[in-house]
Amino acid sequence: MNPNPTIDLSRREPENGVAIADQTAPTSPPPPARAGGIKKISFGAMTKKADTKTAYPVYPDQNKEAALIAARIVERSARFDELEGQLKTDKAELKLMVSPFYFATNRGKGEIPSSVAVHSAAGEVLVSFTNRYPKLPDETPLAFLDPALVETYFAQTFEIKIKGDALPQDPAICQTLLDRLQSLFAEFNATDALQASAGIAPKKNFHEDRHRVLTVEQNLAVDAACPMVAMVKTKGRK
Amino acid sequence: MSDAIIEPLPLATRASAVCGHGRVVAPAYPARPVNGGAFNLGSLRAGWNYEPKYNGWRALVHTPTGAMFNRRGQRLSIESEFAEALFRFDEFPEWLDCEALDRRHGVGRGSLIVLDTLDIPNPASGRRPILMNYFERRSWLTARFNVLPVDARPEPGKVYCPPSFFGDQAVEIYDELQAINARWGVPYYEGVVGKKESSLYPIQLRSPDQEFPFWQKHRWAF
Repeated sequence: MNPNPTIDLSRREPENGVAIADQTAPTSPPPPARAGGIKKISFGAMTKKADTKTAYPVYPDQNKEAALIAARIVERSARFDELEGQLKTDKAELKLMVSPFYFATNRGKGEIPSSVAVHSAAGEVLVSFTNRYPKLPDETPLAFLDPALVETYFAQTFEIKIKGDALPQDPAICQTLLDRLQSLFAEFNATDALQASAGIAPKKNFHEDRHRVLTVEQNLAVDAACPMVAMVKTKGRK
Repeated sequence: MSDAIIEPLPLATRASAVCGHGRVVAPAYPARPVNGGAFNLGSLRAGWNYEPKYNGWRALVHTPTGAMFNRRGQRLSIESEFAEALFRFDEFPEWLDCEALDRRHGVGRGSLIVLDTLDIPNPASGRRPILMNYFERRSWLTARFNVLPVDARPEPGKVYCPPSFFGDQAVEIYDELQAINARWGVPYYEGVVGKKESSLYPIQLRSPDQEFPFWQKHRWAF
């Protein structure tokens, strides 16, 4: 018998971290029953897997109206996903199909129509070509174009965002900082490049505090004025 | 104003890893197919090929270093389990889009199914540019890796290409894959993935959830 038994403490990674515990690892034998104790048998691999789904409070749906709507959402979401996928492919195929015609028919023109019409028995479909392009991660995909063309028509683009809630909480300091930022951009005649979107939003602690501090009526009133974003999820909730 | 290139801001979603002496970063998110729903004769598209959809981990493999990244661009922690398979790669193409078969069902553990290559053109290195469509890329890959028949279990540590079907045969295979799952008693296949022959591999870093409309997955419910 080994006088110094070792215990394997090798780390197992969480399931969503890709590696999972080896499900074929031998199971431990059941502990010996003490005299008079309850005899137990080992269920080994049959042991029920721990349910990792979070249990939320269940809506008391007495007349089953909510269940009816939920069932419709589940069923229609599946159909919607499929339709959405098929539509995406159809639109991409159509765009690919008409693109050569779009470029050929508009070649050399100064003002070009934005769309190409495709007629069908079910009606007309427009393929619209907009002045919006994806931001490329770098210039590598352009490597096979004429370098002069790339230099003329492509440039680096960027946005810098300022997280207002990460700035010092003193309004006076924030104001000074933003004033200086505007002055700096004005100095380089680049005021137009500085864009800010401002608005009113609940503070950080509101979401937690509202349940403790506000009445149901108050919460409903706030929700009417500033509705909490809610998503209806169907995936992963079988 | 200076024309100098400003270093881009670090992208929070991009994974990085230290491999050897350099930093390896996933160059793009792997192509994500749209949901094509159930599969039948009505689902077939002209000019599309259909491959089995395997139940494994999606992995972008950097062949010179063996670094593996998941579909969100994060470094995978199971690389060591694919050491034998990773050893089989040449340096080119530099990036392979794979399905890594691990512990989900026990079939083909440690083997890699090469779904595609997203090697991006790099004229500076003198390498051949990969601006090939799916059909050309697949021809190139199947010349280097064995095609795994649907009714053959992958050997551990090996690297394969999936078989490809079109037309009525693809629908027959869809049914056959379910029958194979039943015979083997494991969810090894999940359905089929359709790929448009003339499509280029989408290189994008905008979002791992951005779908590629020229790939369609047709899964069955387990």
